[in-house]
Formats: sequence, structure tokens, C-alpha cells
Amino acid sequence: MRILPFLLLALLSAATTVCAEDSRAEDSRADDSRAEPSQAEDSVTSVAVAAFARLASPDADEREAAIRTLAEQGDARLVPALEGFSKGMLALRDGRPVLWASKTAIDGLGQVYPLIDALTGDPLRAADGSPSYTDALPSDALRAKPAERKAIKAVIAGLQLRDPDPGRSAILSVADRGDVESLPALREQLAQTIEGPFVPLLREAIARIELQSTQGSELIAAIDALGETRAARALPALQERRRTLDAADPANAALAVSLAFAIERIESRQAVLRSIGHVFSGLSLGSILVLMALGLSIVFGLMGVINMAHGELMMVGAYASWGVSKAFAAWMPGLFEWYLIAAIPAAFLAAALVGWLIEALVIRHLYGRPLETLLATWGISLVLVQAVRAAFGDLMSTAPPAWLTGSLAITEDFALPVNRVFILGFAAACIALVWLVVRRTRLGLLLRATTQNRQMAAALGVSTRRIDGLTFAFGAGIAGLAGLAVPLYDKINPSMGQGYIVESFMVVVTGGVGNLAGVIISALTLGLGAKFIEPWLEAVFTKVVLLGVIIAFLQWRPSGLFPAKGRLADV
Amino acid sequence: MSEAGASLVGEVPAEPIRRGDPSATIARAAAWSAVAILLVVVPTLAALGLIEPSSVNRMGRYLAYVLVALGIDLIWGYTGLLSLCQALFFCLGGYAIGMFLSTAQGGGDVRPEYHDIPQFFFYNDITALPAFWRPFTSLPVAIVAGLAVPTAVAALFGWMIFRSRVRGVYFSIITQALAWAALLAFTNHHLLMGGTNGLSNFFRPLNNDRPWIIGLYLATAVAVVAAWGFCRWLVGTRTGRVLIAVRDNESRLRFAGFQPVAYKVFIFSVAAFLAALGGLLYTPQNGVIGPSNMSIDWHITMVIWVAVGGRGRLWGAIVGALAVNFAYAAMTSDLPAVWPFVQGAMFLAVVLFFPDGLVGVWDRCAALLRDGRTTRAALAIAPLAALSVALAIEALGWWPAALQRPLPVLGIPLKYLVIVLGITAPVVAGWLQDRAVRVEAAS
Amino acid sequence: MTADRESSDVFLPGPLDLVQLEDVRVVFDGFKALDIHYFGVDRNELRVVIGPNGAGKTTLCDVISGKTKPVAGRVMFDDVDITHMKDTAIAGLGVGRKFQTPTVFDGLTVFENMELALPASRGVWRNLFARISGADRDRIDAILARVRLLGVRDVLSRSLSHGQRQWLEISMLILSGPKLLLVDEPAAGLTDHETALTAELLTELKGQHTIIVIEHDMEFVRRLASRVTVLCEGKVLADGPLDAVQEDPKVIEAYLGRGKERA
Repeated sequence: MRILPFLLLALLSAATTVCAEDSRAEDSRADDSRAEPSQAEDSVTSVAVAAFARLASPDADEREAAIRTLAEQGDARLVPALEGFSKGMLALRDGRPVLWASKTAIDGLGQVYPLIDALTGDPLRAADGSPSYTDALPSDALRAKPAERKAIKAVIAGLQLRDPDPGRSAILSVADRGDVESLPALREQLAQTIEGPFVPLLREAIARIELQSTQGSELIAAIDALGETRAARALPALQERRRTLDAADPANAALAVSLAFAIERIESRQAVLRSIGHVFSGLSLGSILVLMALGLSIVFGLMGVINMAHGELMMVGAYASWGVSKAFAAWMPGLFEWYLIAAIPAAFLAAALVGWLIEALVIRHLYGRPLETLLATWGISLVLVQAVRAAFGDLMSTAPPAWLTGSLAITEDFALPVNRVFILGFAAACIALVWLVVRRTRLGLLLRATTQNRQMAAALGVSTRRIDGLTFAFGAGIAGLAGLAVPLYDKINPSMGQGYIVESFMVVVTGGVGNLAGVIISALTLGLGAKFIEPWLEAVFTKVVLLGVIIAFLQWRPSGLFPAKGRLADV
Repeated sequence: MSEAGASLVGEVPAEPIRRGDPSATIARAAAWSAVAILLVVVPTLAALGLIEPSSVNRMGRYLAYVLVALGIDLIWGYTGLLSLCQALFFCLGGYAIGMFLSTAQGGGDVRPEYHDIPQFFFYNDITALPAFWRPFTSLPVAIVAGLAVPTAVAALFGWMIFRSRVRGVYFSIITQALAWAALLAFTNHHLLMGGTNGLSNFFRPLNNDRPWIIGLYLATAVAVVAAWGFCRWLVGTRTGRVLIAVRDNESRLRFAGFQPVAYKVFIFSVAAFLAALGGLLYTPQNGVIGPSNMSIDWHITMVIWVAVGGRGRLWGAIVGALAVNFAYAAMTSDLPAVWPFVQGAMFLAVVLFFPDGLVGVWDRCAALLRDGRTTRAALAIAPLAALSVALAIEALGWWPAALQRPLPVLGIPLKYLVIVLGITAPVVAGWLQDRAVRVEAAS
Repeated sequence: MTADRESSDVFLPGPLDLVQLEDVRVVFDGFKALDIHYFGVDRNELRVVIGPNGAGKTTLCDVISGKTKPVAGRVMFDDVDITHMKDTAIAGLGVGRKFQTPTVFDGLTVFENMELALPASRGVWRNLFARISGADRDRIDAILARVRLLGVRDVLSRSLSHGQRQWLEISMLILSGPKLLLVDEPAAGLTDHETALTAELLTELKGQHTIIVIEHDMEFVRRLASRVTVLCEGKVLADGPLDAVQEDPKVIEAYLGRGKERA
């Protein structure tokens, strides 16, 4: 059984290697196909080099002619250079156009511009072969005059469409504009591109343009094609068509049927995507709740302690993560992208330390008095909030690493925010960590023993007091990890914990105290429930409804999904 | 063995309550003078202009809090159920009267350009009073609804959760969740209750004009005295004893044939009624009622008033509510950033070191009095007395200007030094005397 | 199986029995805590239930008082089927119970504890206006005098000694005038003197109340001089006067087999 994970790992790595080789093979095939017209390309390059040189001329007519020449080349590889020209990031070096690429952080140099060849995209190399960088913009930059920029934009759009691999945005922008003149170019592209990711996009763009420009059977065919693509982008135009359609006219009957069918197809797909979106955001909301409630549940399960300061432990974790990000920004800007790796232990340890102190100083003296503990921990939470407010002030935010911004496109018109995906994965990792600690470590064994029978554990020589302290610190650390996740999507402030504490307690109560599986199930259910109700009700009333559901649920099962047995049942 | 047993059986381990106990006399005198001060002295001084109207108004508002505290003492101190949603009932009462005061009939600040209805409806695109608002244009309906609705909500909610044997901390958590859900709902402007801002723009003179202020103060004071009398009566009845029995051992009570659910629902409703009465009297004096009056920390703060005063004793709730609030008023005006620390420390100190609260201080003094150690008793009660005097001066707004001046280095007003001295000096003196007694006993 | 059949011949159901357990089975997590073919107690009888640890004595009490529900069988009390009734309803029918550890209301005085045990209304409203009558007061005082608690009548019961709490609880039971008293280990933790007094008290009550006493202490059982039922592993093993039961080879085996000569 032990071998199984290794087997899986081996299988996985083998699979990735094969895939990588496949893709490399594809790359080389692509290179082969490109190799053929290399002769022609060379001529394009030399013409382009000459044309760019003419762009340096002060004479407006001369420059216009150069731009026209570039447009006539019909080669999409000229686009970066033209864009650079439009923005003033292009200069001539040894007669060749050189592009100042966007600033990046390089060790030992700080934020600098890499220099690349504007036509090939290769980095410009110094004599020793190392890439060249500069921290200043070119003084002799070729810069388009404001009057020329419009023309250049048109040239760029035209070139992009003629690209053997047309850019997504180019196709979309043509379709959005309903540019009838681009139709032949698009059709030509479609004819050339037998298969590949751009085929549906091209079909969609053609159909969308035809929707605006054709009549009769062609129009119906375009509508059917749009229905086929199920693209959400076509929906407004289709609906507009249906709205303006004179339905009373029998001549329009076929058109109306086609429209209704296409709209139906697109909408049903959108409904499916929406559901997936709800599931995802519900899970994402639930995963934060899981992280909060896990610690609470462990502490409640072991010690019967209601920790009202749990939300503040989360806040401590969030501020620790914020502090680490600031420290990285100040001292190690080059590694800023990876500050989260350092923030994970920092958030865990900071919250665990505070939790350990709370247990040792206050909660230890209040065992067996849950209501008093509740009040005392609330007092602690007030002090913590005010202390953090005094030390750091209100409302902090920190830029998440670049790799956590943006979204992950799952399909053409469906994307998931990367930070949410990360949080989901992070929560899963934390659950695994908790499970490992509780089930596979000595601390976990002692913890379980103490939870089940404190006297017996003590009689066997377990220092239950020490276990209490460690468990509390562990639960607090999990809350700190929850805090780490929050700044990735929200601002943080000293009283942020209070927004989560009530919901977390509901999760614990619904799941059954001290039962980790129950906590996970109820947290995810609550998260999903909230996201599925929200479209019908406002977020606020959704929470009210969920609370009602929970109270009704507790009527049916007063001790939650998985009732605790024995000592806990009397808490 | 049997000898020891025999002596055990007949022994009286605790002292019986003796008639003519000096502490009982003092307690009775204190209670009557408190009633006299509340109902006669303060209104007279206010009428004569010796107390600022704003101070009278503040006293009135804090007395409204006392009503809530009495309810919390009944349900937590006597019955052992820690309800964390009393501020919700307070607000339901407050909103009911606030609705009346917002309307044209209640003298609210309504204008023709807003269709003569409360201005916030403008944001809801509403031009006529909504149907559920219309009954509240009548004062009697508003008062009856303000008391009946919270009581009914408590009865229904209580019945649902007590029936499923939700107990202990679970009860606290669920009441807190209820409070939180209500807070969210009231914050939303679609509820047509003024959203985040709540209800305001009432009939102006209510908290501006001396006769109105004194009148509302008197109404609140009478309500407090009446509620106190009612609670005293209630805890003295057999029902009151059953409540204590619920706190001590609920399952034993069930085997004695009692239905704890009925008693819990009853006391939860009574506590809700008292809280609603407090809200009803508070809102006109405060001039605004909003979701901030039912925030999560406010519910727990209310519990802490009772904990500070000493739960399970009615006067503890009364004194606790007044003491904490006047301390709050004083400190937020002088040292606003320090107050949350003080409040948090108070939570911890009361729970960890003084579980009996101020009542405990008095009990110790009474025990010493019974032992005939009058000086020691006086020293034991002196810190409480010093605190009471300081808070009374604060309540009346009678601090001499000299004591209000900030100290040169610390920057806090001189009066705090006086108060701290007044509290610590007798504590130190009492400790020294205890030591002297011990040394004497040893030698 | 044969043991069961045998016992059914020995213990014929008495149609007048106040308490009747018929084919009652209680299972905790697969463990058979109680498996009784028939157990009956006659009116005004004092019955002692003995048995080794884990024999199901307390479970028997729990089943009668409604704290635990049997998985099979029928429990009759005073010709009413109480198998599925709630604990409070069973208490209302007249089943009073004294727990193993004394449970009195700590925050109430001795007298107030007794007042709650009075056979009066249990309703919230009635009790708001209930006033204790002179006769009730005298009855309480008489019982308190009998158990020597009159001197601490107005003391909070939290400051009573262990023995005093036991008696207070028994007094409360007696005062509530139940048809059946379930008394679980009344002698536990008592001094010899207190044990003797408790035995005396229970013997006095015999004849006026139906009582089931659960006990370990053989000396105490002997003092009660009543019919004894022996439970073992959830089953009724023997029944009869203490001397006869002690001679029963099955009983001796049950006790000796566990290495404990207690009977």
C-alpha cells in the first residue's frame, strides 16, 4: 500500500514527460512548416529594416510612405515594432529597429528595460553574448506623431488579421466592430486554418458580422452558426435582432424560429457555466469557512472552549502575511512574487503564538466554564483588535503576487479567478495538513486520546495541560492560515475577524462539534447554498435565509450532522 | 467513624440569616435612597437647573439600559442561559417607537418634497407610507407592538430552540447568529427601516428641550423602579425558584416533573420584554435608533454590564449597567483610544478574578459586618464607594474644573488619579489590616 | 436461551404489579446492556436490585424513568404503557427518581428544594402565584426533622455535606409522593452511621410507597430485609429473599466467577 503514492507519482511524471515531448515535436513541426518560405521572409525583413530607417526622417510624407510600405508587407511579425513605434519605445541601433521591452526586475540591476530586436523578438546581445538591458528610455526614440497613430493602429489591425495565427483579440475586435470589410480576410483565414483553437472563434466572428450585414437565408445560416458556437458574446446581438423582428410578418417565421433556437442554445450553455461558476465560488467561500471552522472545531472538541477571539487570530495571520509582503517589498523585491511561501509559516506561527499565549494566560484558568470562557475570549478579541489598530492603523491592503492575479480561462468564455483557485487549493492542503496532524502524528494521537477521555489520558501519563496548549496553538495557527488567504481577495482591517466568527460557529454547530468531516461538509454546503441563493436574493437576505435553514436543521438534529458522543454531549 | 458521621448530620455548616443583620439594614436603606434619588432628587435638581439637561438625558438613556440588564440578569444570572441577542429585542422596541416618531403623526421631520413621509424612503423610490408602517402612525399601537413583537419573537424563537434541547454554549451561539442575521437584515435598506442609518429625524424637542428631557427621564426611572419591583417579585415566586433549578440541574428538574422548556421560553420572553421596554424608552431620548444599536459586540457588552455588577442579584445588574456606561462616557470623552483596552481588561478581570462582580465586594463587606469587624468592612466597601461617588459626579456632570485639567506628563485628567487613589488606598489599607490581624493571631 | 425459558417459569408475571418490564432489550453500540424477560414490582413493595458491576442496574432505572428507551419490549407502569413516553410525562405519572450522585439544586435553600418537590402544579403561570400552605410547610418541616435537616432548612444546599444532600434528595422524593421511588445507590459514599439511618428511613417508607433500591453494599441490603432481584449481564439471574438468593449457585457463580466474594 505504501508504494501506491510513488507509483502514482512515477506515472504522473512519465505522463508529463510524454506530453512535453509531444509539444516539442509539435513545435519542431511548426518550425519545419515555417522554414519553407524563409527566402520570402528575408526579403520582408530587409524591406522592413529600410522602412523603419525611413521612419526616422523628419519629413511627414516620407514617414507616411514608410508606413504604407510596412502595411503592404502583410506580415504580422511587424506588429510589435509598429506598436513600439506608436508608443515611442523603438530606436535604431546599427540601422536595425530595436525595441525597449516592458520593464522587468533583474538581479543586481533593479527595474530595467530589456532590449530586443524589433523584428525577430530575440534579445539584443552584448559582445560577450549576455542580454542587454538599460534603465533609460532611448533619447533618439522613433515616436509616431499623434496624427499618425490612428493610421498605425489600422495598419496593425490589418496585419494582425493576416497573421497565419491570427490573434484572439484581433478577431474579437473585428467582430465587435461588425467590420464588414474584414469579412473576406476572415473567410480566407478560416479556409487556411483547418483546425485549431481559432476555428470556432473565426466562425463566430464571421457569423456575428454576417448577422449585422446579411439578409434572408444567409442570415439564417449565420444565426444557426452562432447557435452552434454557443458563444455568449453573440447573445446581445441576437436578442436585439429578436426584439426588433416584426414577428407578425409571416415572412419572418423561419428567422424567428432560428433566432429562438440559437438564443436557447446559448442561454442553456450560459446556465450550465453559471452553475459551474456558482459551485466554484461557493466552494471558494466555503473553503475560507472551512479554514476558520477547523481550528474552532478542534479547540471546541478538545476543550469545550468557545473561542470568540478566533476571528482575531485569523486577523493576526492576515497581518503577519501583510507584514511579510511588506518586508519582501522593502528588502527582497526580486523575490516578491514568492513572498507567500514565507508568509505561510509566518501567518501560522504568529497566530499560533498568540493562541498559545491566550490559552496559557486566560483559558487555562477557565476550563469547565464555557460561558465565562466565551466572555473572556471576547474581551481578548477587543484588546487584540484595538492593539492592532493602534499599531498598524485601519484598512491595509497588499498587492498579491502577479501570478495570483488575473484569471484562468477554462473555455473560450469561462474563466476562474486565479486567487480563488489558489485559495481552494490552499484550503485543501490545510485540510490535508490537519488530517495528517490529527491522524498521523503523536500530537494527534495524544489529542484524540485527551478528547475522548481526559482522565484516562492523564492517568496514562499524558500531560493534558500541555496537549491543551499545543492544540489551542494548532487551532489558532489554522485560523492564521485562513487569515493568510483573505488579503488575496480583500482588504484587511483589525476588525475583519468579527465578520467571520458567527458564520464559523454556525458551521461548527451544524457540522457537529469536534467532527472534522462534519465541519468540512457543512462549510462547503453553506458556501454553496449561499452562492446558489444569492442570484435570487440579496447577499444579506441570503445569510438570513441560511440562518433560518440552520435553525430548522437543528430542530431536526440538535447536535449537528455528526453528533459528539460522551463528554462533549454535555458541553 | 460513626462519631464523625453523627456530628456531620446535626451540624449547621452555614450561618443562618439573622434578623437585625446590620448589612441587611444598610442594604434596605441603600435601596430606598436609590429609589428616592432616581424618582425625586434628580428630577428636582434638574428642574432647578442644577443638572445640565444633557446629563439628565444621558442618565435617562443609561437607565433604559438598566432595563435590558435586568432582563439579562433574569435569563443569565438566574436561569443560566447566556443570551447574546438582547440588544436585538432592545432594537425591536426602539424601532417600533422610532417608526412612530419618524412619521408625520409622530412629529417626525417630514417634508412635502419627500411626500410627507420619512426622508429615507426617497432612496427606495417610495412615495407613500408602506402598509406595515401605517399602524405605527398611532402611538398606542407603536408602544403595544414595540413590546409585543419582541416578546413574541423571543417566545417563538425560544420555543423552537429550547424544544430541540439546544443548551449551554449552543444556545449562546444560536442567539448570536440570530442577532447577526437581524443586524444584516436591518442594515439592508430594502427592509424599509432606514438601512444603515436607522431611524432618526424625530420630533426635535425630545432630547433638546428641558421639560421633555425630564419627562422622559422620569418615565424611564419609573419604569426601572417598576421593573426592579417586578423582577424582585418574580424571583421570589416558586417560578423564580424553578428558574434557579434550571440553572443548577436541568435534568434533575425534568425528573421532578417540570418542563424546563416552558420556564426557559417564559424567562426568555420576559427578558425580551424588558429589553424592548428599554429600547422603547431609549430611542426618543437618543434621537436615533439604528443597526449600530444591535452590533455583535453590543450584545456581549450588555452581558458584561451584568457580569461587572454581579449576576444572580438584581441590584448587581442595575449597578453594573450604570457603572460601566458612566465609565464609558467619561473615558470616551477623555481617553477615547484607551477605552477598548479598558473594556477588554474589564471582560477578563471580571471573568478571571471577580466572578461575583461588584456584588461580591458587597457580600464580603456584609460578611465582615456580621463578624463585627466594622473597620475592615468599611475598608472593604470603600473602593466601591469611591467608584460610586466618582460615577455619581460623572453622571451629574459635577466634576470641578480643577480636576478636569490634564496632568502635565500623562496627559490624562487629574480626576482619574483621584479615582485610582480612592480605589487603591482602601484596598491597600485593608490588606495591611488583614496582615496585622494575622500577625496578632500568630503571636 | 434455556436460562430464559427457565426464568420465565420461575418469575410468573403478577397481574397486579405496579411496574412491569416485558421482554425489554436495551442495546448500546451493539452491547446488550439489558435483556429482561420479565421484571415486576408489586404495589407497596420494597425491592432491592443487586448485581455485579455492569449488570444493567442503572440501565434498568433509566428504562423505567424514561431516560433510556428500549429497542424492544414493553414497559408498563400502573397499567399505562410508558415505553415511548417522555421522561417528564413518566415523572408526571408518579415515578420519582434519586440519582446515584446526589443531585439537588445548589442555588436554592433546603426548604426551597423541598418546595419544588411538593406535589403541586408544574406550570409556569400557576407557580408565579403559588403560595405555600401551612399544611405543606408543616409536612416539609416534619420530613426535614425526620432526616435531621431542619436545622439547615434555610441554608443554600450547595453548603450541605454529602450525606445531607443524599437525604435531602430522598426527602424530596418522599415529599413528591410518587407511586414509585427509584433509588440508585443511596448508601454510596455515606458513613456507617449515615448508612444505617438511610436504611431505617427506607424501611419506614416500605408499605406506604413502592420502592426499587439499587445497591452494592450487602450490609445495607441485609438491613432492608426485602425481596432481592439479582441482575447479571443484563439478565435476571435470581429472585427472592436475600438468604435464598445468596445460596443460589448461579448467583455464587456470577459473583465468584468474577473473582469477587461479595454476596
